[in-house]
Amino acid sequence: MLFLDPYFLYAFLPLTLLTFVLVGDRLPKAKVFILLVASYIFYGSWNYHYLPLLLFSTVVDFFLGKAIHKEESPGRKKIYLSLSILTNLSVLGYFKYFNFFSENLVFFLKDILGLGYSFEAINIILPVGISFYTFQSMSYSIDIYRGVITPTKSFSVFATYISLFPQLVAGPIVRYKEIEKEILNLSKYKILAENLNWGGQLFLIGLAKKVLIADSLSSIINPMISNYATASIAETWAFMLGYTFQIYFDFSGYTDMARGLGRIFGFNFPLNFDSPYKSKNIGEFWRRWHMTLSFWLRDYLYIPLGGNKVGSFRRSLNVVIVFFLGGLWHGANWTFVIWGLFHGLAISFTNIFSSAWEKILPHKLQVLLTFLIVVIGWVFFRSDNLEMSLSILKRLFLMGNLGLDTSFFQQYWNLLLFLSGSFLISWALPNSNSWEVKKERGWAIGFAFLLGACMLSILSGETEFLYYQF
Amino acid sequence: MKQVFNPFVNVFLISFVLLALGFHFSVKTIDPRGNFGRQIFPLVVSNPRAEKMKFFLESKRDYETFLLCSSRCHRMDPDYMSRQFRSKTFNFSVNSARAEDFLAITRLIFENNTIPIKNLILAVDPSTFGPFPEYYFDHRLFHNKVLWDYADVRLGKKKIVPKPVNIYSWQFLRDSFISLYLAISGSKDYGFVEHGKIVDRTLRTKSSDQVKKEVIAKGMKAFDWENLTVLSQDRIDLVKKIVDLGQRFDVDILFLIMPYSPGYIAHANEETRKDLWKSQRALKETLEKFLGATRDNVFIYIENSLFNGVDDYSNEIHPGFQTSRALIDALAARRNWAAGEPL
Repeated sequence: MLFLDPYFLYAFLPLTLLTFVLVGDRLPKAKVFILLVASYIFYGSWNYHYLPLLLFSTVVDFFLGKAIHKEESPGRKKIYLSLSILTNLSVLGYFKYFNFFSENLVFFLKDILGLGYSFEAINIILPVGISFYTFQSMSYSIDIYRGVITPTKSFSVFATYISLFPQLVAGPIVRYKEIEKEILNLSKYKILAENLNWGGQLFLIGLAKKVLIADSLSSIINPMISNYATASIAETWAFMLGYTFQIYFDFSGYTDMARGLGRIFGFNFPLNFDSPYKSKNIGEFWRRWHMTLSFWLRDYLYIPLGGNKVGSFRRSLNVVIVFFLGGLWHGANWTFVIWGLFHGLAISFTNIFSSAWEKILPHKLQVLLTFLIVVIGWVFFRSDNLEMSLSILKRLFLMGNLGLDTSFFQQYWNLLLFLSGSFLISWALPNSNSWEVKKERGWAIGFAFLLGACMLSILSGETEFLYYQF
Repeated sequence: MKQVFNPFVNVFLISFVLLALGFHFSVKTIDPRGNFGRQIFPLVVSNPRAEKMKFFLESKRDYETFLLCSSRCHRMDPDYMSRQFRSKTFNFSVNSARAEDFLAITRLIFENNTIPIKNLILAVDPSTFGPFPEYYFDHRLFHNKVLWDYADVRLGKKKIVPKPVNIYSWQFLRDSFISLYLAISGSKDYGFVEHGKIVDRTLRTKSSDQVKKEVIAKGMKAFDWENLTVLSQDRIDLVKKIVDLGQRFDVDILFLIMPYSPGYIAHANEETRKDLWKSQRALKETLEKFLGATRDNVFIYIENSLFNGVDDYSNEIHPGFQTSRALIDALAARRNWAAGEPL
């Protein structure tokens, strides 16, 4: 079940909301349980076979979290923490990376060293949202170890935190301390008109971003991308710019929906996007794009590696290591690894030349160049393999037929229209983080039309969130 | 609950429900594609089932040759066919025709034609025998009360009910607006006249290069050939009934397997092409084995080169006027079967 699924919109969400209000008002303590059950139904509707995995991860970290907190011996604390991290990474490693690492190992042994190994890939279904909930679960154990939080005594509270349906499958990655108060006080929370209206409005804005912009772009550019090998330079730029905006509106749309739903049920999820395409350099881009992942990697990986307190070479190396792993987090493919390394190197480069970058280049040029670097990075992210990446890059760097004739404009006028609108929205308009609740009737009618438009788009074709696969 | 159903939410919900109801009833009333048999407003896509039936029933009904086909044969000029076949011809091609349409129309013409019919040309393609009931079952037949009476309601053992039309789409909304515009402006350009001849003032044909570009733009997945490599026995049985009727009334039945745009064949990816050939082979074998047809009355014109066709198509599957004319010439001369098997 996706947020876009009519079953979600017309059955699951209203039923959950009504149960939360009707039962919750009479039995306040049941609110956590209602959200927990709803979240497991939500996840199980995708594939109920993977519910035990979610439960396993939850049980392990719940008890290890308690053990870490109780234990006074630093050595044992570390052991418990290692066990928690190891369990989460093992689950992630098996389901997400087993085939990738095995294939590459066999390639190394067989094709490089000439040893007679062979490998047949196992058919492993990647559980939806596994990268998100394992990271969330790990942050819980690490924060207890660091003394940032105290573990919850209630299993249902912890299980709800891990499985909370608004953000379970594609983030934002929420740390326990960020919603600790809200989840512990859930029994006292009553749905307020303001929260409901603000959350609902943000949800609809996210829905519109996703189905009216991202999916429309996707329907135009996907056929172009599938024929990348014969595309002209103009077509290649057009579909890469299209993808650049597709992924932004897709993921930021999802985040808006998640944050909107969270607010309805009394949670203030952290920001995940802050107009990333307005960034002046790649470092800033990562402070504005998928912020909860960036900050997770910063706090749990970059800082433990030495952070900014080490020499410039070591610092650059740390950045590259973090982004290498960040790339791998997105998917078990060399294209994601290269994408991560590309960003890591770009940040290291701009760190070294930051003063020159800022002094020499005017602000707008910094934004434009940063945007272009991001577009080039998306080539690896979108490609199925490195051959495809190189083929697209060649055309982006003006190798091939230009193809910028009148037929290009005739054929892709709709894409150009969407691109112009997307540039306008992402560069000139305020982002949805600053959305203020609207109370006027006119807005209510406007949102009804927006939902109608979204429903027509949803029912007109198939749609899926890009970040579900991670 | 007051917090949930606050004034903003109430206005929002009422507006949305009214909007949805308004959309539902407007689109169903306008019925831009003729799915619901309303015919109050002009159809965006002409409804040849209704139009051709009207012309046929209002004519002297003295035709010797009938062509039954999908929209692929709309541009086959019945007057030209009459000259080439030396036999008065009616083009009874209807959009998205499947086996059940063929049978209903055959029964209609056999019952109502005033003179003995000599030739019945069934121009088919794999989708004529698409898997039933999963494969598209046309509402335009279902809602055509006269034709529906002639259709075989005992299609297999399954109850015939078309899948609900998804009217909740941008495409349907667009078509409804076009239909309203046509009603106001009265400038409908697409339709049929006597003998089932198309009146085509706006439909243009495209070069192989244009078709190639469009095929590429669609990701070369214009048709789901993979689903059509196994033909529906239900629909084969319906065509068998036509063959039986033909034998009973001594009508010469010719099967014509329709060609594809050279641009489509040349530029479809390997997998699509493989599935396309596979579905064509299944079609040919079906016609020969199950329907008792022989090499003398099955004509395969899958490629232009087999019938001197020219690069004149309106898209991957719809031949233009010139190619249609070449097909008629080839059929009239009963040649090209010997040209070899493209499969």
